[in-house]
Amino acid sequence: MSLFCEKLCSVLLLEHFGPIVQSVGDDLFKHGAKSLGFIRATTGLPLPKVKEALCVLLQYGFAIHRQTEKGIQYHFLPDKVITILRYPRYMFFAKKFCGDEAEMMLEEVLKRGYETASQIIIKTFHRLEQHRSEHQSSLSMLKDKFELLVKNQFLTRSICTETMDEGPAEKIECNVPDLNMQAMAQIMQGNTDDPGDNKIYWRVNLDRFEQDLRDQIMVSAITKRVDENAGELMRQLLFLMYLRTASWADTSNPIPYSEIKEAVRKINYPLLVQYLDQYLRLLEEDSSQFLKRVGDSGGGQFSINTKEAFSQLAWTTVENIVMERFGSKAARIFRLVRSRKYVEQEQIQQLAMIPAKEAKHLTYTLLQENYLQMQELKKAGASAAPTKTFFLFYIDLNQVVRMEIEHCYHALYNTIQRREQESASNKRMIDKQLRIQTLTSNLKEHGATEEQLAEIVEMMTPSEKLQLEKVQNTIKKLGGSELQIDETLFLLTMYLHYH
Amino acid sequence: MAGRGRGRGKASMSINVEQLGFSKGEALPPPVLQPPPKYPPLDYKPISFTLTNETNYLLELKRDFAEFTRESSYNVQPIVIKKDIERYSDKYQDMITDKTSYEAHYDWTRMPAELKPAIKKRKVDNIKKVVKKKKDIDIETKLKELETKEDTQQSDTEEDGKEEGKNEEKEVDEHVEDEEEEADEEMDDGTDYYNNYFDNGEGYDDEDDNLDDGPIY
Amino acid sequence: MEIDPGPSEEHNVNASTEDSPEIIEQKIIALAHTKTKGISDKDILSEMPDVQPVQRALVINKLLSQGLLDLYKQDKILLYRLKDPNKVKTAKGADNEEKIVYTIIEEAGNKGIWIRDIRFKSNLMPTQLNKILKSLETKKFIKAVKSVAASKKKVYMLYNLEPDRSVTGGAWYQDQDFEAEFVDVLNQQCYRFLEQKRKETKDCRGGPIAARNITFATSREVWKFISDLGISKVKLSVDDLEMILNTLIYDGKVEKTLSNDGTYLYRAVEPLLEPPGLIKAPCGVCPVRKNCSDFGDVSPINCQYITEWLA
Repeated sequence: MSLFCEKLCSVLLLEHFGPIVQSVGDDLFKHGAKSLGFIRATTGLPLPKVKEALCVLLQYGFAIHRQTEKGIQYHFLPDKVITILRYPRYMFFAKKFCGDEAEMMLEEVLKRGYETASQIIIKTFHRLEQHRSEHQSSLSMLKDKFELLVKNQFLTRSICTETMDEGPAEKIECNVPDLNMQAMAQIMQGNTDDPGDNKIYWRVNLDRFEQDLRDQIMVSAITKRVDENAGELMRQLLFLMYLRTASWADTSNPIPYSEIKEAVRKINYPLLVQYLDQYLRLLEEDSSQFLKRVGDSGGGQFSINTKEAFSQLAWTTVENIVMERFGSKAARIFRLVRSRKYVEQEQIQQLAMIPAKEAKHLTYTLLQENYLQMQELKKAGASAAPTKTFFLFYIDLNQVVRMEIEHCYHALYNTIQRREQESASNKRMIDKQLRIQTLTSNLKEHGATEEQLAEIVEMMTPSEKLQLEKVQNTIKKLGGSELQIDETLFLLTMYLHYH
Repeated sequence: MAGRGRGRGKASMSINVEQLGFSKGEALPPPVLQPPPKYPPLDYKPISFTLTNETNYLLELKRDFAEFTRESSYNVQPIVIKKDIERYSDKYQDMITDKTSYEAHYDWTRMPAELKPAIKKRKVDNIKKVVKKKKDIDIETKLKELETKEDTQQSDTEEDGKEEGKNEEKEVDEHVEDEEEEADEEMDDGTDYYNNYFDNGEGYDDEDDNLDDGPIY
Repeated sequence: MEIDPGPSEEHNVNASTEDSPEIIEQKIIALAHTKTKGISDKDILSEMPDVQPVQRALVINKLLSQGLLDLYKQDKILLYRLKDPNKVKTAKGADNEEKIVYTIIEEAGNKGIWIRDIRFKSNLMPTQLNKILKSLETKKFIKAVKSVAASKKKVYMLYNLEPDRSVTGGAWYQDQDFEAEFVDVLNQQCYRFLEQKRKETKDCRGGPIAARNITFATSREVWKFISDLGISKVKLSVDDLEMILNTLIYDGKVEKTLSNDGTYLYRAVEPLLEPPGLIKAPCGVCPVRKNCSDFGDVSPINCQYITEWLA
């Protein structure tokens, strides 16, 4: 397994769950499946702490346990740990799709790994009360929101056995239990009661969110390549794909023209309705090859080629990386090799129209950095001539993608390290500001005067304030960078998923 | 860039200089007489980006999540021994002090039973071994024994299945009672053990055991 | 006409210090090249004092008989002058090997021929062939031209021929030097033309297909645009422009499609993605990432690139 994947998981666990969970995670990563006793032996941690850490990993779905002949074995799931980076986007997506309350509910579930419907609703209610007292939200409204999340498969039942063995056979259950609303009202008053969904847990359907991110990438790519209308058409096509095709299939089953027309009519895109045939033809003819016409019956049958789409997207990503790391001439050479499949050095400089010396230098740099591969080809020339050796350059996209995924892990690891360092070295000031904030809000509650409040704010000297602002911006920039790098990581991971 | 590319290319690929694009008699790059700079000037700078409102919002969500987990009971705390001296971290530690065992945070119908806080027998065995000899092999064998023991125990509960969940719960409750008593005891005995094995980076050398307070999570 | 070396010096022949007759021959021709008005015996003597008169006479007689030199009298002094090589149609009097090599090179036309191919065709030993080639070159029957295809390869062709484009590189080369800047300017201008067409689609009201069709241009259209700009000193062909358009395809800015009538259509395209997030981070473009570790000077904590980027 990859070195920086391990390190990235390690810092993510440290950042969120502290050094003990980190050590146990590291240990599981290194050794694969392991029993409790062995984890204790290799980590050297006290047994109760190992147990506690394993509970955390299981609770969040970062590890699973399997009953085997050798006892219970714990398996680490690095991808699930890395998904922490994507939680904000999942929450944001739920917000856009189902509203603020839904976002908050999703957050509650993410924070706890899995949770019962009643608890999710009650916790969200309390939070809403705290944050926006002016906004009245009722329990029944929250229950509706919860059901909306379930209906859209953002939440799914968390079944006990799935932690034992998470297989594809797992069927997504989406029957929301009948909640005893009166009992819930009682619980909110601080009384104990049975809301009626004891031990029926829900977890975030990460798979669904991955599909959404995947679809978003495809839609925005088409929007960028053609226009808004084409992007919207792509979105509608993806909706139609889900109706007839397994979510992770390479290509969708044929979508009939009539259904596309029907779907497009329901949305407010007049130009798309008017020029639907033309837009379909544009997508079909575009070199990106997201859409294919697979039949002519009934005005045409169309199939989305997700596999091919992500191949194109990965190429574009890698080409961009080459461009920004080695310049536009290097990117020209890279694309040339891509389009020619196998090509000799001499052809490279002729076709790319780059001076021989520069072309060679760039080609060898790309070779050395593993963006290009070289194959030796010995070919006998004329009878008397010595064998001539050709050096052919080519690209192994899978290898380049794997290398760039590792690059992303490394960049993420470094960025998080640096962010932690920046906040640790300014901890005193950050703490001070936190104290002032707490104090201010406490005093406000107790009806302090403006003067008193101003006095507290003054506790921070101007230079401290300046410094604090600088640190906060630094941390923001690094955090923003993490989100950006993760976008690249996600796209490349999607490519590997299909190839 | 230039020096690096050519220099390495020549060494590792041993190709004729002419193939590298140097014509006959053309001056080759001068020999490298000093190590390259640690951070050579960048030929290409990272593309700049601005933090959009959306990004700022995502960052808030990201920070909130991290703060929540960090301050929650899921952030497993090393056992800290109460000190005579006030330390700035005490405040922090106090904030997150949760006197209840982690056991209360999990639904044990879903978790492997072996992860529950220890039962008396094992704990005593372990501590004895460690205190007396610190021979890991013994502990391991012992642990394995205990595990198999527990495994059988757990598979029993599994066989009961969901319908008989109530029985199981009773069982669990019984355990809880047992273990609550044991927990304190365990921690009392175990403090030396933790000091030996876990370095929390602070106060580890503080041998002044104050065992009454038990663990701090 | 025979030249008498003079009786008194006849027995001074000393074989040990002599150059071979061929070398003397070349030296004399070279000397004659420098003085187009002709050289006298005195000139030869001062240039090549080691050459014995008897030998000098032999060489000059040979050159005269081959018709390479003319002899005439000026102010009572005998002068030897180089004959115009173009007048010497075929290497009259040259030996057979020279004739064979000459024919091979003649057959190659203005594309020229590599020395190795001459060797295979003529079956001559390398040293002998070299000698013949040199001789033909000095006589200006043939010339060696550097090919742009490979900088170290020379091709031979008849002296009076204009080398083919494949040898000189055509419009993109000046004296075997690739005109990179010229190519870059044309690359930018072609893109500007196509990009302009793409922008025109904003006002198109005829639907997306019509809008796309506006963006297409044939290579001839691009060629006309570039010709009208008048930025090129040399006359460019449509094929030249297609080479440039291909570089734009490799730049990922332009796509080429085959139209119904078999011609290629070019158009500017938007990339599918914004630049990836990875390269917006210092670690994405870091040249020393391989040296980066948790400890030491190159580490995420000490990283100067990150520090600069944060500043």
